[in-house]
This record gives sequence, C-alpha cells and structure tokens, in this order.
Amino acid sequence: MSHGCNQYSLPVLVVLLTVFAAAVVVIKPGSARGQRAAGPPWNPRKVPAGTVFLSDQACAECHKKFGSFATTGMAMAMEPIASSKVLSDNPKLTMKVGPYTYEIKRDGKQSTYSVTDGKQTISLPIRYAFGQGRMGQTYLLERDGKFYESLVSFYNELKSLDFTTGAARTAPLSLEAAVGRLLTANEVSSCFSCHATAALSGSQLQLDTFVHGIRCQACHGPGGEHVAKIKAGESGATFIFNPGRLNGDELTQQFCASCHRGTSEFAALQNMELNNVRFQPYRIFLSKCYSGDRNISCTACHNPHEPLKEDATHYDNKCLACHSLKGKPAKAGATTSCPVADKDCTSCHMPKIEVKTAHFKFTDHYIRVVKPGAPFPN
Amino acid sequence: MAFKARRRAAVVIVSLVITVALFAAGVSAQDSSAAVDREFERATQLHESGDLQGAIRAYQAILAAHPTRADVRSNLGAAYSGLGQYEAAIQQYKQALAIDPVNQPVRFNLAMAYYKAAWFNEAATELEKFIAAAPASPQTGNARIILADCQVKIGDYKKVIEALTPLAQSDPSNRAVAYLLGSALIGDSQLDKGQAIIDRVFRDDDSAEAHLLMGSILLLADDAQRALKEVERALALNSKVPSVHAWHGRVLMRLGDTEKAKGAFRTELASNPNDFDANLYLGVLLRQDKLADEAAAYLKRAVQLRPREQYAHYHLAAVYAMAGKPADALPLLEGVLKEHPDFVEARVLLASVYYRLNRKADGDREKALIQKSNAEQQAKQPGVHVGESPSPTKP
Repeated sequence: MSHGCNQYSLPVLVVLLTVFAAAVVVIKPGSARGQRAAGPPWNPRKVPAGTVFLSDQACAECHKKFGSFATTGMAMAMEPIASSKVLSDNPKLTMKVGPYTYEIKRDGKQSTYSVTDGKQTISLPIRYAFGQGRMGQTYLLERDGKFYESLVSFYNELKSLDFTTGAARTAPLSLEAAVGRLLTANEVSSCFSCHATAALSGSQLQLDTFVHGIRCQACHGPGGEHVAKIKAGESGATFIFNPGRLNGDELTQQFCASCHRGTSEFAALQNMELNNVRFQPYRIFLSKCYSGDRNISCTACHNPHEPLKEDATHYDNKCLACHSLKGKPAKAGATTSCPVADKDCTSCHMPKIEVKTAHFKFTDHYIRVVKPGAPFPN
Repeated sequence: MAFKARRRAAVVIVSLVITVALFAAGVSAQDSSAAVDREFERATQLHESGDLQGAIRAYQAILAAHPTRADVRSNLGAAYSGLGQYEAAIQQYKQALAIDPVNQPVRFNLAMAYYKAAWFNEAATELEKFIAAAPASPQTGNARIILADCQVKIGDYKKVIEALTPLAQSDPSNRAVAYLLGSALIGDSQLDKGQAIIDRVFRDDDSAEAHLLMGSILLLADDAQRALKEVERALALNSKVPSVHAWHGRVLMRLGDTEKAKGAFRTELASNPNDFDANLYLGVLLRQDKLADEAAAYLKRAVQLRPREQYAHYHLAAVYAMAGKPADALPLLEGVLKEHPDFVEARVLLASVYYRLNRKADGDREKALIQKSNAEQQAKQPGVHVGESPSPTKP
C-alpha cells in the first residue's frame, strides 16, 4: 500500500466535504425560492395563484414578542362585522343628503345600511368594514352580486357619518346612485389586497377564507416552508421574506408604497393637492434628506410590529441621528443644528395637516422647514 | 512539332472545358433564378394569405442566398410593417433602396413605415423625395396629404399653410385638405380661421369619419363632453372606422370612466392590434390597476409601434419599477430624460430606480434636480393653503 503525498489526511477531507456539502445547500432550487434572492421580492399585492397561507397562530408559536402586532393599525385595517367596535359603539348612525336619509343600524352581530328617499328604501347588510375607526370606516355593500363602496362613511372626529372621502359632495341623482359607487372587480380586489391577508389567489378573490387586516404573511409571504424547516430542526430564516433586507427606496417606494402610494404615481399624487398628504412614501421622497437609504425609510421611524407612536418626542432620536439640537455643534457630515428648539422636531418639521373631507389631521411626511403662511407644497 | 501539337490540343481542351463550364453555369444560373422566383412567389402567396410570420421566414430564406434582391427585401419590409414591427420594416426598406435607389414604390413604403412609427421628420423627408421624383405617380396625391399631416405633427405649420391654401381654394370640398389646413392654422395660432375652415367642410357632413375628426379636435381642445357626442355619433354610423374605438376610449378616459375606456381600447385592438393609442392607454390604465404583466405587454407593443414615443417608454419603465425590475426600467428612463429633460415624473422614477440599484450618488443628483424644478414650479403655482377645501379626489 502506497502512501503517496497526494492523499488527503482525514481532517482535510472532512473540511473539503463540508465545503462541498455547503455548496450543494447554496445552489439547490428551494434555497433561492426561500430567500427570494433572485427576481422581484414578495409583493404584498400580487399573490401568486395557489399560494397557501398558514394561520397567524403558526407564526405566534415562535414569534411571541410580536404579540402587540394585533393592535396595530395595519392589523386592524378591516373589522369583522360581527365584532366591529365601530359599529357596536355606534349602533345607530344617520345622515341626510338632499332628499335622501341614510341609516346604519346595529342588530345583534349584524349591521344594516339603508338609504331612503321617503318613498322607497334600499337596505343592505354591511358585508365588509374597511378601516379600524381611528380616522374612520367605509363599508362595502353587496347588491345583486355587485359590490358598492358606501357613499357615506363613519368618521371618528364627528362620531357620525359624512361623505366617503373622494365622493362628490352633492346629492345623488337617484336612490340607486345614493347607495354608493359601483366598484369594478379590480377595485374590489384592490380594496382587499391592502386591507386583508390572503384575500387574493392570483386574480381570484378568496372571500370565504381571507383574514381581516394586514397580518404577518401579508408582508412576509406564505410561511409554510419556513415553518416546515424550523420543525425539521433547520434554519428557516432564508425561507421567509424579510422586507428588512430591502434597500431604503425598495422598502419605502416599492414595498410599503404598494399600498401607501409613492413615486411611481408621482404625477397623479402631485395633482391631488392637500389630499396627497395621506400618501407618506410620496411625501417623504420630497424631503431634502430622503436619499434612498434606510436612514429615511418607513422603518427608520416606525416599527410595523408595534402600534403607531403618537408622541412627537419618540421621533426625536431618529432626527438626532444626523442633526443636532439648539446650541450644540452640527454633527460631522450633517446639516446645521436646529436654531430654535431642543425637542419635538416633528411638531415643526412634519406638521399635521387637516384634510377636511377626511376629517383627520395627517402628519405630513415631507420633512422641511415650514414657513408661516406658506402654501402646502405639492 | 510534337510539343506544339500537344500545346494546341491542351488549349483546345482547356477552352472546351471552360466553355462547357460556362454553359453549365449559365444553365444552372437560369435554373437557380427560376427556383428563386418560385420561392418568391410562394412567399408572396403566404404574405397575401395573411401568414405574415410564414412569409417573413420565406423571404429571409431567399435573402440568405440572394441578399441583393431588392424586391424580396421590400416585401419583407411590408410583412414586418403588417405586424407593426416598423423599425424592422424601415431597415429592410432602407436596404432595398440602397440596392435600387430609384425604386419609388419602395421609397413610398419607407415613408409610410416612418409615418406609422411616428418618425414624422424622416417620413416628411422621404415623402418630399418621393413627390419630387414621381410627380405623376397615382400615389403622389396621397403623399402630399400625408406629408402635410407629418408637417402638422412636427409643428411645421407654415409649410402646410403655404402648400395647402391654394389646394383648398381650388377644391374647397376636399375634406382631408380642409382638415389639415384647419389644423395647421389652429397650430399657427390662427384659431378662428382654422376652425372656420374645418366647420365649413364638416358641418353638414354626417359621415363617421367627419364626426371622428370633430371628436378628436374637440378632445385635443379639452372639450371632452362634446368630443364624446361626436365620437359616439361616429360609432353609431360606422363602428369599423379605424381608430374610432381608440378615440372613444381616450374620451372616456378623459371623462374618468376608465372601465368603459378599457373596454373601448380592447375592442379597437381586437380588430386593429397595431393601434398605438389603444395599446398605450390600455397599458397606462392597467398599470394604474397594478396589473404589471398585462400592462407591460401592451406598453411593449406601444414602444415597438412608436419607438420614439417617450411617454410609452416612461410608462413601461414605471411598470418595471412597480414589478421590482429596476434594472429594466433604468435604460428606458435614461433614454426618456435624454429626449425630455423636463419630464419630472420620469426623473422622480429615475432617482428612485438609482436608489434601488444602490447608485446613491446618481439618485442624489437626480433628486437635487427634482427639488430645484419643484421649487420653481411652486413659485409659479403656490398651490393651496392648509385649511382650504381640496378638490374631490379618489381615495
């Protein structure tokens, strides 16, 4: 038996086999799919046909620290009618528009939307309620197999009804028209794709199985492979989509903006004047400090797994990562320090703007030096 | 002596061989030419039967062996044109003209391909050459009209007014001349004079074409309600007029009825798949619906039909950006901004695309340009003050 010098010693052989085995893991097909490293990332609004979602419980088994997510605005972007807080707390809502009288009435776990001209009445069960009520709530009605957006919505500031944002604020021409706006199939899909999870499979609505609100898998994609890997004792990290790996502009203008609207709709949004304050990705792009990186992306200031922080001081640290307070020298590579204040940066530089038709004050995400009396910059 | 005899015999043999060879070559060439003609005939039959893809393959097979056949190359151009592949058609017509520079029908075809691809400057140049070279051709009358339309489209109004005013005086009932002269006068800010000419000719004309023309003028003049009546009248009279559904869609789109508009564009494309407007605007509406794949298909077609139409490039880029394909969007946007540096929406998207491709310095440069442009715009149109009621908009 020869002992040639080209034979590997045992430790070297083990190392080589390990490297080889590791290489096999990297190139196997499931890996690329799980990481979604190649091709476009998970698009919350474009769910491939046949996608299977798990229950939220499957996520919660391990991700206990995200328990507060259930109380976020996104998680409550839709309310089930049976347990709707808005409809339960406001069992009878009325409004008069020209010759028409509207009424939303609670009866047990159901609510009915009625409109009458005094002679005839159209009454429809409210099928779906969009919005959690922080700002308001709009209703989706079904009549003869077609969906309608309610002409009137609930507004928290009024604790009552008013025209749905975007509707012409005039008396409708007929009782039929008074019900609301007839929606196309694509518009209905669009509503559910931003207010619900697993509501679409390809272009098909899944109204029997969807989950109200934006839940874990709406943003992270289906979790089946991820859970299966974990249960098999393997790492599941690369088998679930993590928006945190996107760069700043991808996250803000593509991922979050798929519902919150951003630069790809620039011209349309620019023409919306004051209304465009509602679309944060578009507004923040206009800020001088927006530079496509993660320092001025949505998640730089907001933790999507926690309820929105309303306190202005919470955001000071985010600004102070680059800027200095009054009386302090400017940081290296940053702009000058604030000449007038030492806290609550957003109260001046991100003013709250009231959109009258929405009965709500929105935080303007166009970070800027606001001059008194200056018009709202589009 | 023997040497001389052998040499003479050798010369005779060589001559004979050469003669036989030449004869054989001649026969072979005749056979070959006949075979090529048969192939050409077969290809032309495919072309005329509507099998344009089959015809293209057959023409290409002939050209592979006989690249200087101008007639085959011209027909190949025509087949491409039939498929709406105008750039490919233009290439073939140009090569055919390089082989046969005085072939005026090919020049006319080239001009038409330029025209359909909306390369109006090039179309005008070729039409001027055609008219100069073939003033008595039966196509010259059409060539003059198309030339005038090109000149209207490129804003060369004075040339149109100069050329068509005498024609309009000698033949005041000629609708095409009246329409183009009227359009040129309107473009040249002689609004009353232009409108009067168009009204006089079309007022009593109840044809579908006349109503479509009026509808298109009204839409371009931002009177969508009256435009709708005219286009609907055109549809009622003859729904098969080319582009009538596309104009219907455009009017409906302007009036905000996007669902009906999409239906109108689809109807147009069912019978006229090369209609640029129908492809473009259907793509734009589908993009708004976030249907990226379907939108991209129509927008790619629009780009193919009019490769220089930067609006189509922009929307295709926006679809790519929306679909998470910034690298595909990038060259389109850079091209758009090279042609139209003031196209703010394109610059916004370009900045975003640079950021997504981790080209921060390029993104920051574009962003600075946007901020400068926005500040200038804001100074001109200050916009609303907080507390004012904004106009109703869709949520």
